[in-house]
Amino acid sequence: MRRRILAFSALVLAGGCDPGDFGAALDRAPVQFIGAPDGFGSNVGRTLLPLAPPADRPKVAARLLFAGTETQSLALADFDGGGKPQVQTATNEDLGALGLSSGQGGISSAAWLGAAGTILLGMPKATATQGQGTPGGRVAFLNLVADAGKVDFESAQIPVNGPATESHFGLAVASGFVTQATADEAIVVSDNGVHVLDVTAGGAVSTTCTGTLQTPPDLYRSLAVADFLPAGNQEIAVGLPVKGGAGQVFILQYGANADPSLPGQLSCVRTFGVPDPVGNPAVGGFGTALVAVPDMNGDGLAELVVGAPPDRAYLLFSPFDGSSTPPSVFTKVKVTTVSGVTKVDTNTSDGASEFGQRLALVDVDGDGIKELAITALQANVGRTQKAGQVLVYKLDGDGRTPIAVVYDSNPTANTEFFGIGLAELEFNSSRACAKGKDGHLLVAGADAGIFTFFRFAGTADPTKAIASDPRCFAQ
Amino acid sequence: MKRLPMLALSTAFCLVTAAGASEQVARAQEQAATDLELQAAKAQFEEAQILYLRELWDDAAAKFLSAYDKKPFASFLFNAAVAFEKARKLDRAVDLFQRYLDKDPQARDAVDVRVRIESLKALLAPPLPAPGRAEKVPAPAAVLPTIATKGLVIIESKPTGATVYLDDRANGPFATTPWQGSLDPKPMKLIFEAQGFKPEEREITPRTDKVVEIYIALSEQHFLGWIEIIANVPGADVFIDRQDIGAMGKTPFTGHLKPGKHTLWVARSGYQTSQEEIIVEPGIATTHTTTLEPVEYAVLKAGGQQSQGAHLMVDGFFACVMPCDQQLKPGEHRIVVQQEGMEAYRGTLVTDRADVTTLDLQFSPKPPRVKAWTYAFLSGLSFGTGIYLGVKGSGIKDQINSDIGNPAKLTNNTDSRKRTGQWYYVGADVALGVGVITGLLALWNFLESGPPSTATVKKINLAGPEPKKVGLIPFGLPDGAGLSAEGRF
Repeated sequence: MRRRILAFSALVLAGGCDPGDFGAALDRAPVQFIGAPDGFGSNVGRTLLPLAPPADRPKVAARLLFAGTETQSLALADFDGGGKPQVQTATNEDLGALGLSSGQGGISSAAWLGAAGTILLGMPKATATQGQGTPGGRVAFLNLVADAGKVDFESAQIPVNGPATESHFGLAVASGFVTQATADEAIVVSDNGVHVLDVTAGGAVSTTCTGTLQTPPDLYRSLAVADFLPAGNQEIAVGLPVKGGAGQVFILQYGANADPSLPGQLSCVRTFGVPDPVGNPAVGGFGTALVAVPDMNGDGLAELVVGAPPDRAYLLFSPFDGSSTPPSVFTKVKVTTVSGVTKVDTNTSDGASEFGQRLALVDVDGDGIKELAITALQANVGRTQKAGQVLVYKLDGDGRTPIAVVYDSNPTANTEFFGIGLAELEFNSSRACAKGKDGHLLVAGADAGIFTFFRFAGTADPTKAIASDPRCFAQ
Repeated sequence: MKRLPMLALSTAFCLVTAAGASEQVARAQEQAATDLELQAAKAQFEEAQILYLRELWDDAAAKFLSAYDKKPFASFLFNAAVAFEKARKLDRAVDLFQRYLDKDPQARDAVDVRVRIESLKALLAPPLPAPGRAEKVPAPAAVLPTIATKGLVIIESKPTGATVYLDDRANGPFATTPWQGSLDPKPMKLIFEAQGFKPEEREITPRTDKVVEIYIALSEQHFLGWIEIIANVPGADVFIDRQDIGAMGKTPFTGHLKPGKHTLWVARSGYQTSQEEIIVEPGIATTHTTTLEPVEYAVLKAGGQQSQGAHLMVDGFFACVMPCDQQLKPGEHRIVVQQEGMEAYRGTLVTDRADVTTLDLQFSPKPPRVKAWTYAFLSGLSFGTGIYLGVKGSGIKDQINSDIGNPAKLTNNTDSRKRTGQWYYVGADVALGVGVITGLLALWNFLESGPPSTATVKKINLAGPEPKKVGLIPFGLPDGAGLSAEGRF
């Protein structure tokens, strides 16, 4: 105390107490939080799209696009070498050019179309025709153009509406090589169909698969595009959780038409639910989240992790026809946080945390092998109920022991939905500073904002960081 | 031998002074009346002289001896010897001449009397020539010189012991009273002197047939002398012999003073005190002129109401506790007077030698410090609060920094402690700011001064002709924290 008083006296002599000291200190915090910019609602962290840092801005180590699903909002966060985000928001004029009007919801999904160099945005609540009962939905193509040191949100081409028979077009979007293997294609999910857009043809819907899909309650549709089956091109995996029923996952495969003048067809080549006897087949949450995993069983095909809230996630191995390796199960065990220290009770399951709502692959420990991040959307944090947690597992682990648990250490409210958005962000600090060390960051969205985790400890040894800080000052 | 004429004997000869003749006569008569033996001797002497003039030598001799019995004056023996010699009773004459010499060996005619004794003895029995003796004894005269009886002069004085000169002091003292003897029957002047008494002179003519009695009552000399002291500066204090009893007066000074040697000081502010030794003669007026030189310094007399106990500072050094007089070197001096609870007086004083400057101060009370203490308390409270809040905030910052370094703590940049700490720091800054402001206000109020203390300054140059009045002009202090006044002289 005496030393503190002396230090404080020296501080006073040096010019008083600078409240900015706290901000300066917290700029080095291991978790950087992006709040809700102006115009964002309470769903700011639901749509996340990590992007490569811009070539024309060398001091930017990472770039993250995010949008609100319920509001007309779009923003871009550029992280500097110290991890401090600089947020730029799209103007209403920009959003109007993208086809997003006020009162017509937000952007529920986004995907990077590498070949086209554009960003695909899904706006399922957009209404093409005034007075339309169910929103038809729309997708837009976005270019990020440098303009006097800032980013200009330009529409790459006019918005593309879904087929007239479809609703909530743009519920989920992804890029992939579904019909061909030479260029990215835009995969767009609507309430009842999956569509492949020919980007080179101006986004015209080229292929449609309609059928048994249902409108999800939160305008979220799980979608994964990977080479799941040995047919050559990539397949589309779409989850279909059924509340009160048995959730399913569909794998759609493109097939060319016998008549070359006619477009090919997407066919549902696989349909599966909770594998029996690994799990309860009647779990309606099965398929809530999907993430494709690089080949693990050596068949050259991607595996698929399926979230099955409220307490499971399954790693399903290709080719998903019953002959493959038995699935791995990731179970939510009881995790408690006392004074910021996380303790894991691997013997006790936690079935009421909406575990499996979101999935992502992130190489959190920098070993080149990605880990699986699973959101427990309603997990308790300290005394805050249903604040949400994200648990990180080794894909080849036992499925019960997370290597790390991250959360909002300063939850502001219950049902914060921490982890409702999950992404892996490449942080290339070598661009920003000579001693920069590149790394892969876990980004977790919440209704409160977006959390970027630069460093955190493992649950096995809370004193040791498993995510090393890549920021410039940490080197 | 020719007989002397018989003279009537005077019974008394009284000399009186001009100042108190009747008193001295009365005193002589009183003395005569009281000395019956002398009166009887005088009577026998006068009868003897009458008998002598009648050439009744034996009777005269008997009377002379009778007088001698009354008063054993040597002259009576001489006269009896002369009468016996006239009566040719030479042996008796020799005897009485010898007794005369025995009685008065210092008699002025002692040598003559011895010669006469030898002559008479020769007549009585011419001695046989003897080889050794004839050469030593003078040969008796064949005819004795004429001899006559002698008068008697009795000189007495009051006081006794007076020195008597005959005719001139240059002759040296003749006798000391009381004295009796014979004097040549010729006019002469007796001069009497006694210390402390005024000398007296008397002309007398002694007679061979009378007893002349002279009684002198010497009057005391005049006790005080008369002095006049004049200085070039009127009004200077005159001190004689002692200064601690105060001045005898002021110049010009006149007055009586005991005769003798005295130390005289003449002093006045602004002047160097003169000192000299003077001798005062009794009954003599003397004038002493003194020149006072201006002092080499100036004098500052500092006083005034409420100045009791105030500290006088001259040129930055403590001088004295007021009221007081302070000597100053001629030149410019910076005067500061400080009194408890009062605004200090500050001024500049230019003095010349012999300047006497009176500084009459009017103090102005200092304003109360209640407000200053209140501000000081608030300042201390604010500083304390600021330090407390700052320490709390600093603690939070330390805790945040600690948590940031701990990978187990997922501290984010919007940690709620950020706002708490910021509030602490803002509070600390506000409190410290208030502390600084109130501290400055306290300092201002502590340094705030009331109306300046002033002084009325009067300067008098004692060497100058007229005193000058000097006014004051207030002036501000350089630091602006107080007001004072500067005298302009």
